[in-house]
Amino acid sequence: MMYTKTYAKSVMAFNTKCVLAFVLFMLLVSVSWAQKNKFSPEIKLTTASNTTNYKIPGKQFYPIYIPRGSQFYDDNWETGSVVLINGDVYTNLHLKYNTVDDELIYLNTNNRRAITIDKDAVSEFVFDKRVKASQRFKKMEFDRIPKGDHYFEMLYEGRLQLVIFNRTMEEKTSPYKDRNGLLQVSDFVLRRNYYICFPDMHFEKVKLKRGSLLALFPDKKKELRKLLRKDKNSFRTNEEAIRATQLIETNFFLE
Amino acid sequence: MIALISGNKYPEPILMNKKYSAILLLFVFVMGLTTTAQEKVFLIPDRTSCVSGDTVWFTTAVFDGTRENVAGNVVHVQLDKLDGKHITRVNIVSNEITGRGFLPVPDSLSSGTYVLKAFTNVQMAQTSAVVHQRLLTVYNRFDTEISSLNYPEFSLQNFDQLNEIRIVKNKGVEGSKPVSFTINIPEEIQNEAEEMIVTARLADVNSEAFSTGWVSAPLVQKEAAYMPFREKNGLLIKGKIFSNQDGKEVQGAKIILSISDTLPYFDYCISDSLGRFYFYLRNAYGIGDLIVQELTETPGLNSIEFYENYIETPAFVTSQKFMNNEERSYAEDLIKAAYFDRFFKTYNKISTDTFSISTEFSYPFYGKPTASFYPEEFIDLPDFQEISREILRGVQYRERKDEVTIRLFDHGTDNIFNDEPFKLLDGVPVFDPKIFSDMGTSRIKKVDAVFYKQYFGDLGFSGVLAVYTHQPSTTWVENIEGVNLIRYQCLQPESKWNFKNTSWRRTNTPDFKKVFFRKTWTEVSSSETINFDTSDIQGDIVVDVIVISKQQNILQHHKVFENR
Repeated sequence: MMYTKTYAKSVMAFNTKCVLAFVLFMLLVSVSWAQKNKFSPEIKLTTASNTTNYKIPGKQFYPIYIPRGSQFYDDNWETGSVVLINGDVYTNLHLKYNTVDDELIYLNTNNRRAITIDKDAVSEFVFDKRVKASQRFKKMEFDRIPKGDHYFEMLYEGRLQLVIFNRTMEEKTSPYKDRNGLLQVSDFVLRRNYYICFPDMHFEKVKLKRGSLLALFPDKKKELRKLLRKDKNSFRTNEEAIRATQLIETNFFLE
Repeated sequence: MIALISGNKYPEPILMNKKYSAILLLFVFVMGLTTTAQEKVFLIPDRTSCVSGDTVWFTTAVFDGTRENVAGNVVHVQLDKLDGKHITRVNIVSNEITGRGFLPVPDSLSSGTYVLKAFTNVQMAQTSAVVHQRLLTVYNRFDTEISSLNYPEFSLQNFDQLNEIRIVKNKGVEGSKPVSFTINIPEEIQNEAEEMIVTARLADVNSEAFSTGWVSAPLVQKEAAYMPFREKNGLLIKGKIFSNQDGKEVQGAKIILSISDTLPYFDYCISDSLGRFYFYLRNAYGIGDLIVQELTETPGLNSIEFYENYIETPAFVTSQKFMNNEERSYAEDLIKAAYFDRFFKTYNKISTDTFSISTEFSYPFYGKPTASFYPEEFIDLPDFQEISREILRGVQYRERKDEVTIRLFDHGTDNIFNDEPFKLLDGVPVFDPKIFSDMGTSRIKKVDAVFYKQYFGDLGFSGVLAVYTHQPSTTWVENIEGVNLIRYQCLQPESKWNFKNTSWRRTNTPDFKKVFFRKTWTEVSSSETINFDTSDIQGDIVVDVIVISKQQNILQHHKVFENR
């Protein structure tokens, strides 16, 4: 028995050495191969990669560690479409909206990579199957902080536009232990800020409260209050906000 | 069936009639569907004859039964010999139903009859596509004597005649050069007209028979159409890749197209099982230097060839037509006139060599660079190794023995990429980093670097290093194995008809124009007066009124006026 055990142990040790030597050899080979390799497109592509559209430009997406909350508008891959600024449309893409960096990620099924699409190339994107209807996000130049091009969720589009700026912020919270048992003091929370975009592309923040809306139009407060009352509109839900924007547009912004 | 019919309450003949009507209706419906699906392309040249070296201006009309697909359509117009051999080709963009362009007739073309053909890429897949060919007589400008011309056997299909239109020559001094015509257009034609084109030209005794219609021919399809895609403001460039060893088609090869520019153009295509590949080049006008190569670690194994974008139609049966005195002297007069025209006016060839490509994107295909370096802003450095050490932060350039490697820093992983970056010299992909070795600060204008794993479609790059020189040129490309530099005729830049329509002549300068007047109206009024100068070539005047109707039809009123 003793003999057998010792033999088994020595065989194990020999096997382990062999495996380790093989792994080390393979590592060395792969490193030297990588050094010599001039250009290595990793995955064999097929004609499925061909399109008459402008190809989607982007960068490899690297997720960040989020102790609590999410980096995305929705953690699930959404089926949707992307419209590039030249009008080319890509449909049936797997999309995620990274609300921390305000970037759009797509899962490239041909090369099996998650890619952050260059924002400069995107005009808008749509999530096809949301609970109620498709959701459209349009790139617009924001004149408030943070200035620049951002994706806005479009609620209403006319001369006036009612939009939501979705942004995930890291916020201080009471200490808690994350899934790795590490102590954390911040949360990632998705904030949905409503804005009315005026015809001159000036954005004004508005809260889903009647008072907040009335404050945007101080010289037409009385008239607007009357219109809202007539519409039985308390400006508390998305539907009411859309109706109220339409009312304002029809009464004050259409010549 | 009899039992079924007899058991019905309707008398037999009525039922049979109903049945036949239903079948007839179904037939008409199906025929209607096929008719609307069939695309028709018509060509309206400004003349029926020319001297080699002349420019033929034309209008194209694309009818597909709807108005949805026509705007921005690309129409290919080719000039062929009667036996089907191709001579030249241009690609034009339609505005709406119609498009305009010009075709420079080669100087060396021998005297004879030629064919103009117009088509769209969609027609390539239409099994019963018909080509509406127009015939053109060309007189070689170096011929001193012409006694006969090759002449086709043809049956002309005439345009629908517009007999309601009246063209009246206004009174003036008989035989004088300024002439005036009034065209009276009835109200129904005014309402029906999408566009009206009026051309006044010298009547050609040899080819006047070609002016009132077209010769139909089926489009010959030798093999299944590849990418019968609707080209809109863009051009499909098709080709094939095959092995140098056994000539077999290579499947799955990555073919890349690049155009050197300040904002370089780049595209790729993966070859199919027949080795075919395509690029859809949009908004590219003029003749461009396209650089096509295979993205491979072992260049030179395969070769690339391009498909010529021509259509084939059956050859004409031809015979030699001997000319009578009048025909011969007319032809010879035209040739002499062409000689004197060049002598007095010099030869003004319309420039088609310029190239422009517009893109709506603000950054190159590799996106916004992570860093851009301008070496000229620094002290003079003799080579790229020095530049990379002193200026290009994040770029690792190493020379070991005869090997040169370049690696970029990856901001995504905070590490150095294992692979070579995608390298560009003036927008052209290069795979040997040695090409940069001798470049000092005096040669390099800008270096763009992308320190991320960058993707363009499905193609991934371990960073991008784009070097732009002060004097970009593509001459170095020709010496690199596996790289194809082709001068490709893209879309024809929009050019206005150079018909002066009024007197341009200075005193003592003879005028030998053959087309006197050409104008298009999109709003047609009841009466239009046209004024122009005739030329110093003696001959009758043809006034041609072409109406392109809203019902997608071409109507013509053709009248010859004696001009003694």
